[in-house]
Amino acid sequence: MRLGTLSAVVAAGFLSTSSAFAYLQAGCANQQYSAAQISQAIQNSPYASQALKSSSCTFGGAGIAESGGNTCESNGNNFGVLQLTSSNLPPGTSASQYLNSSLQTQVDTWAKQVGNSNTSGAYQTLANNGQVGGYNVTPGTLAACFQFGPLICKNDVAALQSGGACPTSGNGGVVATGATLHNGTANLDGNGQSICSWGNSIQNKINQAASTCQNGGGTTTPTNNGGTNCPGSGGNPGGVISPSPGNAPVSLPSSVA
Amino acid sequence: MSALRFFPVTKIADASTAGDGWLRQGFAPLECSAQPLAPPFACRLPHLSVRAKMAKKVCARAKEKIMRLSKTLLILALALLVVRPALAEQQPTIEHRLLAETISLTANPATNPQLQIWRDQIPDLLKFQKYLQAQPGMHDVPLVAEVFTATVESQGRTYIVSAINNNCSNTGLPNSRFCPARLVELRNGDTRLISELPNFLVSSLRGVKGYDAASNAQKQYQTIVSLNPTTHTLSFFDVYDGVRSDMNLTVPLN
Repeated sequence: MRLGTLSAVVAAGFLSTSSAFAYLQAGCANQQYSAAQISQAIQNSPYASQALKSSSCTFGGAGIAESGGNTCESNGNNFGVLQLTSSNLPPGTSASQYLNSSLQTQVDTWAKQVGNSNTSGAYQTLANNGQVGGYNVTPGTLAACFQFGPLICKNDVAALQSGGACPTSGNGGVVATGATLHNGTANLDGNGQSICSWGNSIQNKINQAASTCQNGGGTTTPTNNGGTNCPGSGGNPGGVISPSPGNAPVSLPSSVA
Repeated sequence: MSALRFFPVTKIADASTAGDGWLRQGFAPLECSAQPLAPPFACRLPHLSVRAKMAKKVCARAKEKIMRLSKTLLILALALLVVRPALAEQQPTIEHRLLAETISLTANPATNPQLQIWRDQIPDLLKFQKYLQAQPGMHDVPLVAEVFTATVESQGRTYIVSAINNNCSNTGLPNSRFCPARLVELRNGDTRLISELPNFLVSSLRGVKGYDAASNAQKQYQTIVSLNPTTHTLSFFDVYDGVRSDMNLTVPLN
């Protein structure tokens, strides 16, 4: 089963970029969902902002890439279908409780805890532009921006907009530390990743997930595209979604929806 | 009868820059008297010439002594004015760690200043915790919020720095986040907002069910506030993976 071998580290925006092994929480319901269902749960969430809802399909695809759409997925630091980090779990809840909760509860919690704060600032610039400084924005880029938070994303977008290359540790990039986070200069995460490099990594996962997770693990409930901006069954897999209101023109892999 | 009045302190007071009123107040104008010849503070001039001369001498000596004393005091005062700020600068800073604290969202706000500091966010937080509590397997989720807080005493006043675990954003490091924070003064049980500190960097390590005693026990990830008593300001430091960094944030306590 794919989930057993998922190396887990990228995700819809909340996990560490260091590596860890993924596993399914023992005793968990082992429920899997499609990108469209995750997207729909975001649309249905009273805790999700409009910005988050506009990108719901991006997170649906990233969720499939990172957790296989499984609410029980964990690597010890990140949990559930959207791989919420432990530091972002709500007060008084254990990781086990979160993993055992429903898709909607996980999505609601994710939206409440980080969804809105991480879609502020430069995220909007990426979401509303297919290209930034000649760099093609993908769902992976958006997910990486979300994961790294507003500061690193802003600095990376500024570097792209100025026509420069995306920051790397080899071209003067600044790794996140307490000091560089507060003086505002950090443009790489703690592992030296930018939204470009990590965005590519996430995008690759999305592309892989597209071919391996198409039908879930056998417990997938029927897909539901209603109300989401995911491509429908008659869409153009691998094509570009036109920039409908609030939605970035993104290339989606063939079976993400 | 003539009364000798002199004001040995006038020059000191004028020479002293301002503010040190004790210099003036400590030396009221003095009246000299030769009877009962108790120089230097009281002399009355008699009509008898010999005694008058003696008294004059005594008075002159007393005056001289006082002038000398005045000069000494002047030098001491000036020296104090110069040295005092320097001494104050050397006062050590006082550091406090921001500790995780769980606050009941249903408690009377009068019982905990944190509930007053974050009163605008309490209803939203309570609503979400109640929602979680209603989910299967989550009935034991408490109606609480988490803050990271430190209390600082300065110049007889009490200040609270509080960062709330709500609507925090990611930083690129797994154990730190940017959270909303506030600096307030606690006065007579009420809180007065001094500064909003948006995107305040908080580093900590979550326990099994939240930021708790275990979070406070570990020292690898922490946020520190440092009081400078001289400048009456707070500055902040982040400790991440044991490495301490200056957050380059200084907030006045005014």
